[in-house]
Amino acid sequence: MKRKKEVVIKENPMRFYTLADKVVLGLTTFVLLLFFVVLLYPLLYAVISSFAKGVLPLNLIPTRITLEGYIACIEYRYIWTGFRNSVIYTLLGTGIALLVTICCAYALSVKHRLRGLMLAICMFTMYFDGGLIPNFLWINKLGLYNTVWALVLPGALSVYNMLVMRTYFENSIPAELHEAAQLDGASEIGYLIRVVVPLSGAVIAVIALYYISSLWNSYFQAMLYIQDLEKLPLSNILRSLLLTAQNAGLTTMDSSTAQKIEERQEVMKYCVIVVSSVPMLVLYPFIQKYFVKGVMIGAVKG
Amino acid sequence: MSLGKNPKATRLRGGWGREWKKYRELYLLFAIPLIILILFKYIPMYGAQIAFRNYKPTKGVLGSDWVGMKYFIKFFESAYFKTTITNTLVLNLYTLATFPLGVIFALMLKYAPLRRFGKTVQMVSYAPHFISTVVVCGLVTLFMNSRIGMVNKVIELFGGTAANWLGRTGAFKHIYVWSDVWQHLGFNSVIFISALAGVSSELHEAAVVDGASLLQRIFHVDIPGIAPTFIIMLILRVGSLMNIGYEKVLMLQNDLNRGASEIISTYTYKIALQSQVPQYSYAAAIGLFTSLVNLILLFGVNRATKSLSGSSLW
Repeated sequence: MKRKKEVVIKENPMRFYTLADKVVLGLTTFVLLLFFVVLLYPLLYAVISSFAKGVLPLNLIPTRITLEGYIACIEYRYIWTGFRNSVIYTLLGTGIALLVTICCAYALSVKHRLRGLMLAICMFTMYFDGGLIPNFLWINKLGLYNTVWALVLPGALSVYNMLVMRTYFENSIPAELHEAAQLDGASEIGYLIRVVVPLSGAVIAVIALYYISSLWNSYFQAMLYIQDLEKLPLSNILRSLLLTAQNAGLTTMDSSTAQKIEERQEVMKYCVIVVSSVPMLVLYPFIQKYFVKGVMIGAVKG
Repeated sequence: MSLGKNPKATRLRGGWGREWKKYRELYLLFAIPLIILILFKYIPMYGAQIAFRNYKPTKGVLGSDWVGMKYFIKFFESAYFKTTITNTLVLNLYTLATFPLGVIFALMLKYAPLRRFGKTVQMVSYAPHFISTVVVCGLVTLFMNSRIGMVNKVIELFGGTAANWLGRTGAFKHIYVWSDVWQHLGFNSVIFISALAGVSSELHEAAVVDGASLLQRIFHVDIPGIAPTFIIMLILRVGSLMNIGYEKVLMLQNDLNRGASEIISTYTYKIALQSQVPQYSYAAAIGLFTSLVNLILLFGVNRATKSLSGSSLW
């Protein structure tokens, strides 16, 4: 992939461009620059705000620096339990999901009689869904309400991720290996564990990251199924801090008191935002190329 | 995207006994995902029949009385039918209208004169994708704050007047769609960037030799080259036209903007899980209606693009 891109770049040197083309390119640069600012500015504003006392001016230079927002975060107990829960749910959920996805992708990558049927069983769930209420009633009936299983089991097989992995198994692992293993008397499961999985590190990493980011960021399942504050993941704690009961009663106060209260809440909100995004933002520079790779593997047959 | 059936179906000799003997381990492997799918996808689908019954938790799914289309008709006749459908369609069609921006962004990156600058923009553009929806909605509400929000201060800087934008029904769709573009544009363009890298460079050379301008090359070489990818992505997107993004809508919703933000899925959630008297059957009927509309849309669009351009999902 990389080499191909390089070639294309070398074939587009400036000397081929006419004046009109250069105008178009100039505009392109300008729009990209504008977009760059629009992308980055809110992020910077949020991060710097978390350290700023009072409202951060638009030039991003705080009048005074403070850590009181972070101290308030640290003292808020449910941020810690939420953080712990999110880590546990994400790791457990990703482990289960990977196991299920690998088994399914491998079973579908080998040609046999029932493959079409199996594929149809999986694909149908991509396009049709029982709906929120039947799911909710059934999961309660299973006794999963207020347990971690209601969060990690229903999403354990993402058919889309499974298809990406299957494409990789089919295209990137030489069929000769399978024949050789069979001649040597290896069982299918032995072949999967000893040959396919070790050779598929890249795709497994990609899919793991897909599951990690969706589990870490999800809040809706926990909102439906988790009742105890102690068991809530970070997203839900965050949601209740950021989005509920905001501005309640503030409109009736005189505006300077209201503004002071809002400012104090604001600092803590920015801190919570930063704290909860830190794991993903720290990982992001390392993982973003894998995410991109995943999109490309999925698109191989597109 | 290999979403179709295998064209070269293998013909196996021998009976099922031999097949079982050869592949029994594969079938055992498939049992694990099968259990998950049956438990969490197919049984709820079976449970969706409560849409046709007057569901009482004490009586169970099969024990509740059959009432036929009652709840569907109730929905079609209710005052919420028009509002929720309109709002759902407006938000989704508006989001769909921004879909080509991914292609434009990919093209801009491809021809950006300064390579390093292009790469930096590309990398930064992925970042918001990794921030959770909760955080994005939190940021939106913070920035839209009528007194101290950043957006309002920018507006005032340019001579406008600050307002409680999230409380305005007219502004809701713009806030929803453009915050979505902000968050996902970069990541959504990845697939187009890789498709553009696959466009034959000989075609570009030939076009240059023939004296094609940059825009002509884009319109006659690049765009036809990535059209199949674009169409597949578009079909997938249209297939979920009715149910996308309710988590985000739910979080941006408040009493003031409800007229523009009450969509089918948030309404379903509200009448079944937030009200004092949960109307399970009614909510299930609305959910089932949405699923069916999605399915019909997906098949319809797939058939249409197949006959128009030859690209299709299956």
